[in-house]
Amino acid sequence: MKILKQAKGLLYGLLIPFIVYIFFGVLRPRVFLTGGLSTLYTILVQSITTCILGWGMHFSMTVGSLDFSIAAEMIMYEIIATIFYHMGGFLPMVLGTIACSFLFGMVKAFVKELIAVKSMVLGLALTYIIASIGEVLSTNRNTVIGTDATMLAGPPFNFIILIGTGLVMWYLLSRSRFGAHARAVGGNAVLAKSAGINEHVIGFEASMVGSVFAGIAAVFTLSRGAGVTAQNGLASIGSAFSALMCVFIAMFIGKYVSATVGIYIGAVTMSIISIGLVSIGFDSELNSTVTSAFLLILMTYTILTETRLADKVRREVAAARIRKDSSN
Amino acid sequence: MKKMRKVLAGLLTGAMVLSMAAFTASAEDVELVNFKMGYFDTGSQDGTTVPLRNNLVAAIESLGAEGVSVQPAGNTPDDYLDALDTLISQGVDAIALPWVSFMFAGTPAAVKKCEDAGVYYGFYWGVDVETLGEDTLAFCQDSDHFMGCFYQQENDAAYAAMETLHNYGCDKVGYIGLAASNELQENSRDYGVLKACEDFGMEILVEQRDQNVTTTAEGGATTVENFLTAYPEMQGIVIAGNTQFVMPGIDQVITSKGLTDFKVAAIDFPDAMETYAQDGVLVYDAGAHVTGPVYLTILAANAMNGTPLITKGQSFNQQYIKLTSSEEIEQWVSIADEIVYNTDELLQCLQVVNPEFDVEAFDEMVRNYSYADIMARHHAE
Repeated sequence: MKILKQAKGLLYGLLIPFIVYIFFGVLRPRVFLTGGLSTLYTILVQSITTCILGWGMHFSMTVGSLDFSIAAEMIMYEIIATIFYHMGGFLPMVLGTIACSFLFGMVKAFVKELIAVKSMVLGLALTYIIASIGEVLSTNRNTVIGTDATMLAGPPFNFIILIGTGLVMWYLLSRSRFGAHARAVGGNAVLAKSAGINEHVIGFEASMVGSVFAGIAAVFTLSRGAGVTAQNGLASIGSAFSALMCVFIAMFIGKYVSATVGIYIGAVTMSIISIGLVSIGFDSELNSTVTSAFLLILMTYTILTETRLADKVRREVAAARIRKDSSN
Repeated sequence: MKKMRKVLAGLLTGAMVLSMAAFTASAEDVELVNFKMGYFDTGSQDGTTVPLRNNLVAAIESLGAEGVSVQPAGNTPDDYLDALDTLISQGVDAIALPWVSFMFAGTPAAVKKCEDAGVYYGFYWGVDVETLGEDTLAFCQDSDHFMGCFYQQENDAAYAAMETLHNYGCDKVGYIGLAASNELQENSRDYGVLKACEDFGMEILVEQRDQNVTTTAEGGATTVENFLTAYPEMQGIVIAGNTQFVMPGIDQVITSKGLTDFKVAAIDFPDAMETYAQDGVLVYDAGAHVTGPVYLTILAANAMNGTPLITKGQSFNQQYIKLTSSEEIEQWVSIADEIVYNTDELLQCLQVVNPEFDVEAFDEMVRNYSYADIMARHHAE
């Protein structure tokens, strides 16, 4: 019964990418409907980076901290990965980058909890700082890797990375004490504190998870692009915004699927939109406008639905009170 | 014949520099005026910005000046105007302005700021003086401080890129370019691409101009994947900007898919371009247009030393290095000649050192900048 309910929920969740896919399929059937599996494969591969970043952002957002610096962090780890690659090749590149993401993640999480400001401004400030570190690290360095180190971008490794990271995400979210505590802090920090949950420890761990996920995304993204260029200032925000949209889509379909699956569905939806806009020859400079508009529609719908639901509950409570008063 | 002309031009420039040196006093005898040369540094480590910065810094040091750099907060004209204020507040004597960052919207304000501050200024990566616009010319056309504009023949570079693709049999192409707002004037990369389409019967199937995508390697991979998914008939790609960012990802996708007949022609030199040439992907690249700020520094140094080469700002046609085959690309990379003009050559461009050097000689030097010129000056057997 539970499995049936989950399957039904998944089908509901898949409605968004399905509708978007069909929309573009009608406009360009040769690409989306009769073009074989290559389009689907491209969509799935292109969604991996955004999805992992979205998973990384999720816990920070759950505990009330919108951290845009995760994309700048990913780019910095990509630069670090190229350094490790030129020092020792593929294996040091992978292991060194993940280790660095762990270490730097600790420092970043510590700084965030030390400042203890749950504001977007802190995230933007961190973006500037991390982007600067990336620039310094890439100065006078070759930040292109050889084809021998790009195997992770191809099958089956790309999907192994996705599924492996997804399983970790699922465990943290659904099976770990950390996940439960994060939800508790995000739901009601005061109540969580009175239940003995240390808000700062959870915030620290949430930030750490984000950093390690950014490290994983960096290794995969570098493998896909075979090179990286430091992005100064807030130039990396675009990538963070895509990940953020995945989280919002996950929230939108949160009633039907878990956040792990929801974020992946969000990333797939974003990829479909990306390829769809190219296939219909849409002005590429307006792509961000379209995706932002899509997000706005989802957010507006979510807010309206929640408001109606809250109104309905209020009305029911009021009606129950009236019934109770009249019976007395 | 074309190559022979290039070699001859290089040899002539070399001979000119040497003959001028014969007339001159030793540079050590002359005490150069120290001045502050201001410039914008985005901090980017890409294959175009790094050689531009290195050449500029080398020129500033060679000509006895002190470099003052500022990093704009972003890429908008307003960001650059704010950064210009910072440079002026640092007491610079001359400034090299990247026109492409100010555009038509920010240029009048930039010129007015420089005029008000009384600093020497000029544009590189831009348009010719006549195209600056009435608002700008009203401020600068009779000014002693305006050193002029250095511009490339953007349309020629783009046209040659398309012609090369056509010669490789790639007539259905995808286009990766700068934001359309950068490409309004006739001397633009867009114009060259469109003209080539008309002349060779080529077709642009799709464009990608989103700066969020075209400034990362992964964005390059995503773009070419999208192109090939949506337009399987595509035979090549012309990259009219941001090549240094997207090229690793593009090469990665094309080689991994084994598309041996799919070719890329580009403007701007990326890192590791010899790899892309060896892969058989990159068949044309125009770049190394990094000398504009160096030329402005030469003009500023002459003015600061009391021997201005020009009395009124004028246009100079700055050159691209155009590499038209995989072989040429590999040869260019092998010389690894990053500093285009060495100290001796730069000092010979100062009238206090070399009284024979005049604006005609300067203009000739600017026009002769090419692969053959560099080979003749620095790598003559």
